[in-house]
Amino acid sequence: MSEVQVVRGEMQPWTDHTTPRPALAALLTDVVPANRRTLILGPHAPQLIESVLAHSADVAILVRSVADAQQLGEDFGPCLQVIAGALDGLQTEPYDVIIASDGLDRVLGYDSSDLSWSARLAAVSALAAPDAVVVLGLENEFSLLNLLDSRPADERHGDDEWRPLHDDPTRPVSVDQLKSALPWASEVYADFGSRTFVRADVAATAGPGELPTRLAGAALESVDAPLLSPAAEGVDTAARAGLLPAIPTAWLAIVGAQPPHDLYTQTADTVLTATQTLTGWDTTITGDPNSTSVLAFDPSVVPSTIASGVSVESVLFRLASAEDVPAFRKLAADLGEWVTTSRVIVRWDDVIYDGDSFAYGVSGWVAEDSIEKEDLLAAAWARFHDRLIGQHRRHPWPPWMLGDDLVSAWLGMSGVEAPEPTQATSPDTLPATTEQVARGKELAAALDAVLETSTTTVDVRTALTEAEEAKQELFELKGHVYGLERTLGFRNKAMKTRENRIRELRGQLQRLTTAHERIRGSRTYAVSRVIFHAAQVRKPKVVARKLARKIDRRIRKR
Amino acid sequence: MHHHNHYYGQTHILSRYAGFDFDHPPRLRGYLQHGWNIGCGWNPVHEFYDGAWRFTWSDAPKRRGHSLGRRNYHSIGAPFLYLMELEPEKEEPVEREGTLWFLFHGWEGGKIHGDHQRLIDEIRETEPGPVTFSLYYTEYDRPEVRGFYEDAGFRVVSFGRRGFSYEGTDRRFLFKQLAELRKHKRVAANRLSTAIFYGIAAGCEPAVYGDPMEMDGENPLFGGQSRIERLWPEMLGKTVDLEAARATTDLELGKPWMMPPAELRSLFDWRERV
Repeated sequence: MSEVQVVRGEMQPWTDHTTPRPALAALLTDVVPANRRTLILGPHAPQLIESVLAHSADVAILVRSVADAQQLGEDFGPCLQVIAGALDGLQTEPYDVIIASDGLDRVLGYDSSDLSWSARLAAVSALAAPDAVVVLGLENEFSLLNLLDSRPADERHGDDEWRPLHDDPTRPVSVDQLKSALPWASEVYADFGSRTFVRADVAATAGPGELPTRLAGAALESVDAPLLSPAAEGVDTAARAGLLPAIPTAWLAIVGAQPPHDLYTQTADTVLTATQTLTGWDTTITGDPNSTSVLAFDPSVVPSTIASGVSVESVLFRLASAEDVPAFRKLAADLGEWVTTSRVIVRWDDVIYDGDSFAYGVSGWVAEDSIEKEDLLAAAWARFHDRLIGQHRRHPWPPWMLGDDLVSAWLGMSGVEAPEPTQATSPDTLPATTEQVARGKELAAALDAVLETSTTTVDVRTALTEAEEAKQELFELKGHVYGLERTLGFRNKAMKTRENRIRELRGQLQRLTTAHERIRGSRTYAVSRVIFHAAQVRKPKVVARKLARKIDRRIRKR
Repeated sequence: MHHHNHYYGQTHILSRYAGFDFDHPPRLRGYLQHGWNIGCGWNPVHEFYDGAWRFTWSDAPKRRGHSLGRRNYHSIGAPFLYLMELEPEKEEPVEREGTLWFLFHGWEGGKIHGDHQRLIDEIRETEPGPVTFSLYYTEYDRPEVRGFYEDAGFRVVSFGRRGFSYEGTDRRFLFKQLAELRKHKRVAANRLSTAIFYGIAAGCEPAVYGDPMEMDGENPLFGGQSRIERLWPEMLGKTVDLEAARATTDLELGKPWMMPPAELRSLFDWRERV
């Protein structure tokens, strides 16, 4: 354990929570110069500290919590100089490198002066050598998640600010303001949920459904914050407006160094970096993925070159919204032809469509063994179903069709033959489609779990929508009951018509039977029968002779 | 659900297509469009229960209905198209001859009025071959109307009744109509109507001309000849561009919206039940 140096402004007892940020660690690895006098300012996760230590032996870290400082001393030993105290208490020679990727909000103690953000920045500037490399984070007050946060202002940032930090008028709230506020020229990255970092000028040109937008949306989905409405729609709208760099959760300004990649994102335990080209993206993956679930991340299946274009999911969403089932059907059929038996899990939100052909995106999730094409398609459609319905998007399919039947219908559009309907044997008998899509749903659920995009917090709009949907369902079910009653009324009317007709026929039959009986009992009928039988005789002479012999025998007997 | 769904045996056809009994189709959970019109697919005062689903032939009626505040539409294609799949034309079709002429028909609640003699004269002047005249039973059963056409030397046919309250429906109405259309070279009518689209779908050359006549209590929202002229000029006249007419027919009958049996079963809630 190394000795912890204490300067003015230390806090005890206190601790600042940190989380590993693999994508940020990869970015730091790319920008931190080797063997320079380096200061890590503020709380940083051990993983980040390691990425700095990998480059430089002369590294100090300043944290305000004494307990955190002691822990760091224990963890890193003599290779890291640990200082406990506040930024305004640190008096030292300038540093060649300053890493303040946590920002400047957790660098003062309760005994510190009330320094504004710009005053804190000035203090950092004073610690930096003239040609220093500086990495500085800044939480974005104009972030989409902040704008959509359902908590009121007095609860937004928790109860751990003894002085409010976020209403500071000197605090930048845009990329331009941040660049202007810094005393150095800088490159700014938009930080989405600490999972995805996109170069700001690249983000500004990303459209909805394109790679940076897709990754930004997925990163924000993984943030477990109480929201007024889902962030996905806002991300797409911001992208359409060219404002994607305006709405991340934070920014990262990089001074004195040029990161080689436009995009850094965390995927499983690995980091994917991507650099924009004229036709798409060149990608690399670093890190060693750990397989702990049904699915594993296999970097080797991620293409090294990814085409530009939008996700097929965004096109399917638009077609469903337009209720353009023929075009939806055509696209589904094309997808059905494109997908083949493979280990790679197919997801429409990561299949790129250029209007003509399809290509895999950056998702490298695979199953242990090869999966049948039908099950891969079922998994893709099951995931699409959950996202279409879960995001309450417009579509033309009735409520009773949602679930397995709808997934099965889409599978049918993709060329997978529907199961033969089977006769139910009880009210709880599951339809044939349940078995057809079961494996696909398992795969979709496994993918959902490893992507960590399902948060437990339900946003207000979704809660209101679900309540409204429940009311609407009740309203429609009442209508359905009325409709059934109407049908019964029509059927009843038809039955009465038939009953009357049967009564009429019965009456006619009765009258005809009576008339028939009367006719059969009459002399006229008896005579007519004799005449009828006589008319049936074919050889009257033979009959006459037989009759004459019979009469003759009777007379002789007498 | 609604007894109109059984008109012309349309639900029966869809039932057979979906693998169910033709004579006793399952209840259809919603309303099925039973004729082409320029509105939302139903008459303007049709009753719908709350939250009802409406199954239109094509997309346009759905859009018009949406503007009326109605929701829950799904287009499926006209049952007549499904019938054509169920009853494909023979490999060696009969040689088509003459014109099957449809008089704009009234219904149980409204009779038509017009100059039948003038129409007959125009048909004689126009049609190159023999004419078969189709009358709906509302006209067929009126000797004063039917007589005009019989006396003119036309063969007069009727395909039966669409029925009411599930009673009197001629379930083979469309079968007979399809068979008759397949015998004729041309199909004609005095108004752009369902039969013209059916005729084109069945391979006839179309024509729309003559006195359109008037119907008792005709709702202007329902008719609107001038609107028809504005929207479908390619369908009107004694000779019509067949390619354009076929393209319009595919759209109006909703050919692209047709679906396979399994999907139809799900859509109509015709699933396996005890």
